[in-house]
Amino acid sequence: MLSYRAGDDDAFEILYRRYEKPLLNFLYRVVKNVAEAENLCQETFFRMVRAKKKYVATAQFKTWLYHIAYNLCRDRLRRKTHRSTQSLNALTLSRDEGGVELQERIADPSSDPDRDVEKDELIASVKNAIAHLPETEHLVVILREYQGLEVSEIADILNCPVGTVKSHNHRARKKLKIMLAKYIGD
Amino acid sequence: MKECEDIQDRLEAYISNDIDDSERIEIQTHLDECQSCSGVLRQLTRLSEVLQTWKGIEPSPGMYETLKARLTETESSPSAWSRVFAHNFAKKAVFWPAEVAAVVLLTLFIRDLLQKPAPKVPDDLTTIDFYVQEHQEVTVQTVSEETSKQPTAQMFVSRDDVFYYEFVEKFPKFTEQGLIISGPPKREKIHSTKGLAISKGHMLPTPLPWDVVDFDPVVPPRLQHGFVLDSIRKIADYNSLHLLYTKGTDTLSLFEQLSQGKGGLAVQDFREYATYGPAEFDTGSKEQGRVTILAWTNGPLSFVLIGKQDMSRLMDIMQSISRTKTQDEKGGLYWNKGDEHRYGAKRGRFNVGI
Repeated sequence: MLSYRAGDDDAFEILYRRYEKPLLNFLYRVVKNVAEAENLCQETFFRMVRAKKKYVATAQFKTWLYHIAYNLCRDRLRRKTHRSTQSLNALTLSRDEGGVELQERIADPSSDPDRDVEKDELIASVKNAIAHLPETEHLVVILREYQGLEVSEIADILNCPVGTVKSHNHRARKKLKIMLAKYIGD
Repeated sequence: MKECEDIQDRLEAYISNDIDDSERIEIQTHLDECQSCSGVLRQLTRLSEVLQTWKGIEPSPGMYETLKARLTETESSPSAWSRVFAHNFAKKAVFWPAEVAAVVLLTLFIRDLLQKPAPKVPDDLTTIDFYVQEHQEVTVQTVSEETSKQPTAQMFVSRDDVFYYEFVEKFPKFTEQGLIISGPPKREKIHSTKGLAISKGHMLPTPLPWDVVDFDPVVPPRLQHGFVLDSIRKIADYNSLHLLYTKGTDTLSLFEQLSQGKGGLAVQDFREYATYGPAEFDTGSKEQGRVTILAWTNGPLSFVLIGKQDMSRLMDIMQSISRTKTQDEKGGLYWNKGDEHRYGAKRGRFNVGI
C-alpha cells in the first residue's frame, strides 16, 4: 500500500489481486447477493484509491480495507432497511438472499449430484442461521469464521473493544449451535 | 463449575489456535478431565465444520478492468461533491442568486477561519477523515436519491470542521488523544471528581436557553436514533450550554458554545465529564466503559457530543444536528430565540458547513 501511495500504480493491481477474493466473499456473505457483492467490492477499492493519501503505515491495510467494506455494507443495509418491509421472521430465503448460488456449486469441486439436495439444505440452513443473527454478531462470525481474521483485527474493523468482539462471537456461536443443532448433533 | 464456564468461553480461541502455549496447556489439561467441556468442544468443532459448508464464490472475470476504467473516468470528471453542489444549487441559483452567493461567501469565510494547523496525530486523523468521508458519501447518495422529497438544499458538516474526537476508556482514564478543541488553555490534570467545571451549573426551563449565553444556540428537541431532549443546563462561569438527551436508560450529552474558545469549556473539561460524568457512563465494565467524544464546529458554534454510543452513531447525530431544515414550521426540529420560524427564515446563518 505504501508503494501504491507513493505512486507505484502497479502496486495497485497487486493489492487488488491479493484482496479481491477475500473481500468479495466477505461482502457476499454479508449482502448475500453476488451482483451486489461485486458492486460493493468495486466500490470498496474505488474508495480505497480515493482515500489512499490518508492511509498511514500505522493502520493495517487489511483491516483498513475491510473497514471501508464494512461501512459500505452497513450503509447499504441501512438504506435497504428503510425501503424494505420484509418480515424479519421470514424463515425461508430466496436464492438471492440465502439460497444456494450456482457459483457456489461451480466453486465446489466435490459436487456430487446425489448429495446435492442434502447439501443444499445444509448450506441454506447455515445461511439462514447466520442471517438471523443480529448485525454485529453476523459480521463477527463472517470475519472470524470465513475470513479467518483475528479478534483484534475484527475489533479494529468494527471499531470496538476486543472483548466486545469476543462476547459477540461467543453469543453468536451459542445461537448458531441452537439453530443448527440438527446438523451438529449432541 | 466456574472453571468450566471460563474454559468454555475460551474454547473458540482454542480451536482457532488463537491462544498462547500456557493457555493451551491449561485448557487441554481441563479437557482431559472434564467430559462436559469436551462435549462443548466437539460441538464447537462440528459447528465450524457445518459453517464451512457455505463455500465462497469466485470473482467474475473483468472486475479489475471495470474498476480501472471507472478510476480513469473519474480522474477526468468533476468530483461527486461538485456534482451534488451543481445539482442542489442549480434551481436555487435561478431564484435566489443573492442567497446562494451569500451562502458560498459565508462558507468560504468559515472554512478559511477554521483552517488552523492541527497537531500531527496521523492515526486519529486517518480515522476521523475516514469516518467523515464515509458519511459524506452516504449523504451525497441520500441527497441525490431524496431530492424530490427534500427539495431544499442541505449542507453538512465538513471533515474540516470536525476537529476533535477521542475514545475515553475508564481503565485507563485517557487514551487515543485526538486533536485539540477550541477553548481556554488546558488546565491542570484531573485530581478528583470534585470540582468538575461541567458539574456546576443550573437547569434552565425549556425551551428558553437563549438569554443565558452570548450566542444563539441550536437546540434540537430530539436527535437521531430516538434521543429526546431531557434537560438544558447553563454551565456556571462558562458561556456553554449542556443539553442532556435520553432514550430509555441511555443518555447522550450535547454541549454548545462559541467557536474559538470564547468563554467556553476546554477539552480537559469534556474529558473530565466523560470520565467522571454521569453515572450512566460508568458501568464498571472495562469492555463497556468506553465513552466517545466528538466535537465539531459549525459556523460560529462549537458542538461536543459525549456518550457511550460508537463513533458512527455520533457521526449520524452530528449530521442531523447540523442539517438545515426549513420545512419544520411548527414543533419542528429546531427551536430558536423568540420565534420558531426564525431559523427557517435565516437558514444558513448558523448551520452552514461544507
